[in-house]
Amino acid sequence: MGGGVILFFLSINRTAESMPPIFSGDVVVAADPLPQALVITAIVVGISVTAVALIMFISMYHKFGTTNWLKAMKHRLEREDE
Amino acid sequence: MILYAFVLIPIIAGAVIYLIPKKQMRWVAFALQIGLVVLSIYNFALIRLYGPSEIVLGNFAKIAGITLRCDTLSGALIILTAFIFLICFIFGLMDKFVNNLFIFFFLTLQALVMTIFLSRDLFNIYVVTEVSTIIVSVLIMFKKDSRSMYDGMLYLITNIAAMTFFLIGLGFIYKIFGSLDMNIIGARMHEIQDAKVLAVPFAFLMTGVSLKCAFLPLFSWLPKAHATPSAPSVVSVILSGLYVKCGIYLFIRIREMFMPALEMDNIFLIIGILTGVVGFILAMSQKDIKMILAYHTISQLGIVLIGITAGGEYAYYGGVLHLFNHAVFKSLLFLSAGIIISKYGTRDISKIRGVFKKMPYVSIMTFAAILGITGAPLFNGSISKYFIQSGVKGGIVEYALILINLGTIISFIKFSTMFFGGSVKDRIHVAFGKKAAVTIMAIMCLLMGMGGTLVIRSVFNYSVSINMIEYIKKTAVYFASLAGGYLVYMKYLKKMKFIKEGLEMELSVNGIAISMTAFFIFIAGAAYFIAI
Repeated sequence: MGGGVILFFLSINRTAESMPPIFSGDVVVAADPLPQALVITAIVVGISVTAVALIMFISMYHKFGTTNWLKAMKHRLEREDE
Repeated sequence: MILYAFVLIPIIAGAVIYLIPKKQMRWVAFALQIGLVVLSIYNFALIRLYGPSEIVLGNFAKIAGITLRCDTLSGALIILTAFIFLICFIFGLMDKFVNNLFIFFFLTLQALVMTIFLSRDLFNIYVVTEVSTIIVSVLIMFKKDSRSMYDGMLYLITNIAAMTFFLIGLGFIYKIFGSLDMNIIGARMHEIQDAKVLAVPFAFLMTGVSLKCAFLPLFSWLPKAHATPSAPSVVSVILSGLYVKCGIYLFIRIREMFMPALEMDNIFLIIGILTGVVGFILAMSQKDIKMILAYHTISQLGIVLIGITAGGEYAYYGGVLHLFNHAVFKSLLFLSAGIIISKYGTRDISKIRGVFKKMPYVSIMTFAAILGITGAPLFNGSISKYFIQSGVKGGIVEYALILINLGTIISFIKFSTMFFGGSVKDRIHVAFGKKAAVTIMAIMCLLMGMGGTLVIRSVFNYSVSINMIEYIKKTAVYFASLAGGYLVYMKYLKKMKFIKEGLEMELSVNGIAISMTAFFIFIAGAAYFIAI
């Protein structure tokens, strides 16, 4: 899902003749640099969120002993009754 | 410059406190909180005198740079943030679980919440919300109990999915407007020829925000996150009192932004009514005292939504005022629930008895909050509910509001059964800090009730007045519904099955994802047909 969002961002304001605005030569149509800046931030955020979620997932697996969400839900409800 | 201080000081201070492993550092954090409250009031005074202040980060042009902008609404919300964090520090300063790591997370969360209130850049809001989601889920599972593991995980995954919706929505917005600054987008909104192109980005943004605000089909993460058994009660206070307000705040801003081209107030009004009704029905059937309070958060958010979308300035300002009031009384309720749970060692409402005789002081303060949330005259809930009702006078919405209030009263009658009974012999000692925190909040309940019009005047520069005869009528309605609610509860509801056994709205992650998609399709379709 994250990949789809990133591709979508790259397609914003892109035209065939636009060039990267890095060299200060005679660039006629520069590509809009802002979506790239946004995308790199989105990637960083996405990676860190995934890392946190995986760590949580591992510790949840240790507590519940299952990777199935429905089973985990049942376990949680049982613990509520105790 | 002062706006940078709200963002940077708490994070830097939190990091420093974490790096110096001394127990005394918590007093530094406490002093910092007092400083922030003073600073936020000073900031608010400046805004009132000289108008909104604005900073563009990094000296870019306004269209490309990230703006921090503070008007009176943001200023008031920043005062609220600083104030509630201060109360939490007073309450929890001496607790065992408060170590330097906890203070670090807590202060960072404060900075992030303040940034959400200040920022006008959609992408900045996305990043900040995402980071604060991570911090909140860490705080939920801070004690590493297995149930809170599940709750934190559920919270994290659903909120990440919601923020992905938000991200796609802001991409569309950038494609259409070429800017991410809310004010610029709002100013260009009327240039849109065909409002149908806005339907999809609007629905994406609103789905993300609605999950944050816990509107009707998307709320099943909220009670779990706000009332998870092992989370410290200060965390519940921050989540329920303050953090959901970020969602409502974003809702207000985005609604304002789309206002010239696309207006969907009627749809959201219906969603608000349904949210209010479902919230109190589920609250009535809970046994766990924190769960009751968490479901009431949903119900009260429904009332705020009704106020904002009902049309008319009275209802709008009433809704915004109710947002502040809800922060005050719900924080107080969660604080006293925290005291009661820690002293009794149980959360089951049928097992807690005789709180009034054991902790008379705390009980009286809690009653102030109960009177506030049910809208008793002179307390804060009544003023904001009065404004909302006078905004929607003489329609089906007014009766819906009375119904929601009746439901609130009934479930708080159930809530207050725990105060009675028991014996005087075994009084329980409550620490001074906790007593001080609940006292300040109770006084705030009363003060905001007395000075509700003053708050609206100072925040929005809009003067409202209370019609005495109408107000007395509302008081009569309140007492009538109090008596009616008591009778209904004692006669019928007490014996009904779902009240005794508890009603569960339990959705797995897959269920939440499906309801989120359904909500998105519904909003997109409705926006497409409404836009002309």
